Amino acid sequence: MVDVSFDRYYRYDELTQIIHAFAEEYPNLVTVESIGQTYEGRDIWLLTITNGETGDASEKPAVWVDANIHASEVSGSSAALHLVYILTTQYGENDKVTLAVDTRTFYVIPRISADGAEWALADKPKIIRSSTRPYPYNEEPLEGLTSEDIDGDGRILTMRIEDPNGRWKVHDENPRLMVKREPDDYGGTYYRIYGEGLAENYDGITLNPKPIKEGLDLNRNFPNDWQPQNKQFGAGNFPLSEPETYAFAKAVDNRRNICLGTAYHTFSGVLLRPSARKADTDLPAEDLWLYQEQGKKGTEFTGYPNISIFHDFKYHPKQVLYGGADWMYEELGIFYWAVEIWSIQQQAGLKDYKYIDWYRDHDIDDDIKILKWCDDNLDGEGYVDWYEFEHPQLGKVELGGWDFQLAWRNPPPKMLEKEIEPFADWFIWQALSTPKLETFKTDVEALGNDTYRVRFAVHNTGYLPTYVTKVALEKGYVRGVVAEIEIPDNAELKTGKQRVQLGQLEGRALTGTSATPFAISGGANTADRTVTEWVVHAPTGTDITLIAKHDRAGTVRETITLE
Amino acid sequence: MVNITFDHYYRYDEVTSLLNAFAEEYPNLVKVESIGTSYEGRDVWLATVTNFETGAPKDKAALWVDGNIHATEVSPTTACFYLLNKLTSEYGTNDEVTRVLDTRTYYICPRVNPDGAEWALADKPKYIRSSTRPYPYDEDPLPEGLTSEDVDGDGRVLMMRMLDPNGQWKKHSDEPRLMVRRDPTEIGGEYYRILPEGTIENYDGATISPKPIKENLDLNRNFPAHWRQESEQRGAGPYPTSEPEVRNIVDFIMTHHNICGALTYHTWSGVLLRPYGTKSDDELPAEDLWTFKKIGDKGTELTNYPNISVFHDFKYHPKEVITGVFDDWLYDHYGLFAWTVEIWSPQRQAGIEEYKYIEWYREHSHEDDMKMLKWSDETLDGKGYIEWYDFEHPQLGKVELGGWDMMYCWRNPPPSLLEKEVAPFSDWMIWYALIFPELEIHQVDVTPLGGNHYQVRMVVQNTGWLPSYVSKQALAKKAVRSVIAEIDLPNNASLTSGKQREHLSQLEGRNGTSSSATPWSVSPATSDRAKVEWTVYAPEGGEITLIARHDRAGKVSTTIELGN
Repeated sequence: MVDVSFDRYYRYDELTQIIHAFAEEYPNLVTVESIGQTYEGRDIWLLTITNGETGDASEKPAVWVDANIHASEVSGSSAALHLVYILTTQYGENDKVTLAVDTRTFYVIPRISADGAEWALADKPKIIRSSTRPYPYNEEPLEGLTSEDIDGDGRILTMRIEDPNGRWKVHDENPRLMVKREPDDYGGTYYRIYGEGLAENYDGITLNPKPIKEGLDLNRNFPNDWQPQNKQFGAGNFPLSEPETYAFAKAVDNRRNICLGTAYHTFSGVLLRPSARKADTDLPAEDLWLYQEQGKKGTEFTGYPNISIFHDFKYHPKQVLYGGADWMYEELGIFYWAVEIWSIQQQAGLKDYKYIDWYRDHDIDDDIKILKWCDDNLDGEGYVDWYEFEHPQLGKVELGGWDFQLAWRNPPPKMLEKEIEPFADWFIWQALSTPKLETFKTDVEALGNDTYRVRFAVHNTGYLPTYVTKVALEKGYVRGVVAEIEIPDNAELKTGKQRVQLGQLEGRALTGTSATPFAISGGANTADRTVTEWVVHAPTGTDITLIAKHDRAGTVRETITLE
Repeated sequence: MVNITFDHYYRYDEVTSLLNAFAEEYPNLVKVESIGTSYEGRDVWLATVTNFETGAPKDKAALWVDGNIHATEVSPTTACFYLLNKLTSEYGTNDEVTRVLDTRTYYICPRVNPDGAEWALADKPKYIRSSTRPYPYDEDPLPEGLTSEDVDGDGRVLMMRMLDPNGQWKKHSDEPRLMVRRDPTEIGGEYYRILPEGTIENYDGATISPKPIKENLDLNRNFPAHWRQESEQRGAGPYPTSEPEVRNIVDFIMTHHNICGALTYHTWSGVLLRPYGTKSDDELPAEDLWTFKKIGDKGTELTNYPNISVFHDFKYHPKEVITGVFDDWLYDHYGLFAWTVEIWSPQRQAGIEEYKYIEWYREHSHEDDMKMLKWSDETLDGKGYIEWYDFEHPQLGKVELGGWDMMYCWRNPPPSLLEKEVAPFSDWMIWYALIFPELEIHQVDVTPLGGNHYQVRMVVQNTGWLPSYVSKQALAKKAVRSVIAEIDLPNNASLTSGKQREHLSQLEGRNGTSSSATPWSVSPATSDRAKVEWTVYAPEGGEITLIARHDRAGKVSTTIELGN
């Protein structure tokens, strides 16, 4: 067994070791490769999980999972490893896992932003958005408030300072909690609150956050509708300018068998799907229906709501941001999800709140519930009682409040496994829904004079159509089934071409609920099948090979003897 | 009484003789004419229904009602006959019927597409969309593929199921008759492929496509509004009104300006559909939308069918619109409040409420299927959903036949339920005609001015609920002229002031009236009236005739004697 546990976060060296341990422990199921290096030169690992004995990974339909493109969102790495763990340890035990690993491929990248994650997991952590490459300027910022642990307890909390013009005050009933000052609120004791950090070059009056030298957001560096820095903060110099995103894009493009995918992020406890920029009514209806079906299944497994980014997850109602999910779906036609792991609100029992709006406006009762949840479940470590500290620049302050990295950004380690555990089932379900090319039948008819008619019928036994999404069809990103015949030198093809294009095959998706008259009529009744034939002249007993392949649905080979 | 029953679907010859029987039985109320012939040369019959003694049909506001433009949708013909029968048999006994025939006209075309219906009603039926004219290609499809037809000679076209490990269907766990879809990742069970009942020509043992149909016209895509050619709109025909069946209707309506409203019966879904099919309600003039909804709400009240916009609630695919249809044409070009009634909803019969008319086929709960099966078992004596039975198929080998009998209980009401289904529409059609504008003379005054001069004044009014122009769209399209007043003078008389023909305004109806008389809602108070004055020089006295007419609101006239 691989020595891995899901109650802690792994730094790069440990993660690398665990990834390779899986490949060593399960050589028939797991291979590891580096898809490229990060800015600082760390390998970005990709695990390929499939049963090598049942066929090449590239010849089976695939599900893709990546994680940790944002530096501090480390629980995604754990969730990705957990999937590998389930697929390997349950293989041969659990029928669905066995079937999925035998007939499909999983590609897993546990950590994209390996440099940034290393900072986030350091003993003295430094939290940045993504890459450690200086951007947009390669110079040290000179002044402002840093975000760091200043009292050496390994946490980055908040600092409060009494200030008659402060915008916060102590809550009446729960004095630990800081609440906003009301519009007509004057004459009380008020506070200014800063993030924990040092005030560099402080002028004694104004204190803004120190600009971050590493201002990249790798998830704004994808090609689809890429917008420069002035429109999208962290965009990078040009689409795929960063080694991490470039490696990612290349890895995806080299794996044309990817049908569905997920990017793990944190936090909010939601399953996000495209589009980020347009309403659901502007998506092809069939894609939307299938997205909704996948989402419903995901919600059933994980309890996370499934929502459209455009409709329910804009950071600002007027702002549209583009990320990898949009590129994967809108350009490549892959059903791609962004999972935001962990919601402290959901943990505390909040229901039906709005994921983004909540921060702007909510009931104080919600805070009290979350506080109570922290006290009961995190031994008070989620919300730290205010304690005095002599700040080198600001003088007497109090440190305390939310430990964002511990309780909000990711699941606290002891809750990690429970949180990420349900996702494997969803990915296995996704994998089993992919299209799957299989031989329906082959037959040979002797026409006399060493001439044979060879007929080759293949079908899609998967759920999704071979093209997976309407967008993939529209974008021309996915070719139809290609059939080939291989004959020895002493044989001759009389009719038919050696390579023939057979088009796309439908799956079972979009079947009506029950066999009503509308649901069984229209279109081809055997749209899951296609057939081609050749006439071959060859001596009796000649072996010929028939191949049918599809980028997404896989490859099949048959050897038949002419007789 | 004409011997007609509503528990039977009539073939063409019966339709013809029934119509003639009505005309014979009610010579003062019914006239039957052919408005043209079908592709195969059958007469397309139209019944004009009004009290001929109270005025010519064209001098009264009229309602157009048709049915059966789509070949298999035969219950619409029944609905037309039901209306005809009610109007004639209740004239003189039912006050509303009497009033409507005294003051309005009906044009009823019960079978627009007799050729296609004849195929659907044949002993060995053949189901096509509309016309029997070959289209788009005048050639026989190659003998390849599945022809949907009765293969075991029981007169029904059911479904065929066969075991197939890659099938998309399976038996429902509690109700093995019911075939439900397989879950996305499900394997290892017993799965079926389901095809429509039919025979397969040139089967390669693997792939089965429907055999192409030679007759692919959809006459309800051949009307002029927003017409698009075949590449964008299947069944459209080579150009708008290219088909004789459509041309017949369009020519008739275009030469009968008194038509104020229209309704076309289709099947199925149990809904009252209104324009547009191509755009949102936001793009209709607000007043027209309000009126459309009021007419629709009355229809819902009388028939229990929801009234909906095609664009918002009845698109066959959320991203696709259909064009060249009857109701969009009449509203868009002529501003008529035109309706498409989809008769019959098997779901609603089974007690399923509040479902989405189109989406339901894609996604619904299995409880709905159970309700429908129960309905078939109990109400239809099991004739709707047939138990699967073995059949040795000539091409496929062992299959089972069974499942829904679409033609029997989906496409149209089963004959035993037909009358109950179509009856309520007549009340709506009577109500609808009674709201049409009606031009009447409010007052006529003659004032002698001395010296053989007379001042003649006529005031006309619209006593209907709709305005004389019917809709804002009609005004915008300049589809309707305002009221025209004319004066006929006696010999040797002349007009001193005024013209023989005067154009008056449009007359408002009462349809824009608010719920109650709030300060905002009380003016203008007499926009239902228009006044015209002439000064006549008539040295010998005599009779003058005053005529007022409006394309839609009708024609009135009066004769007065100039005083001595």
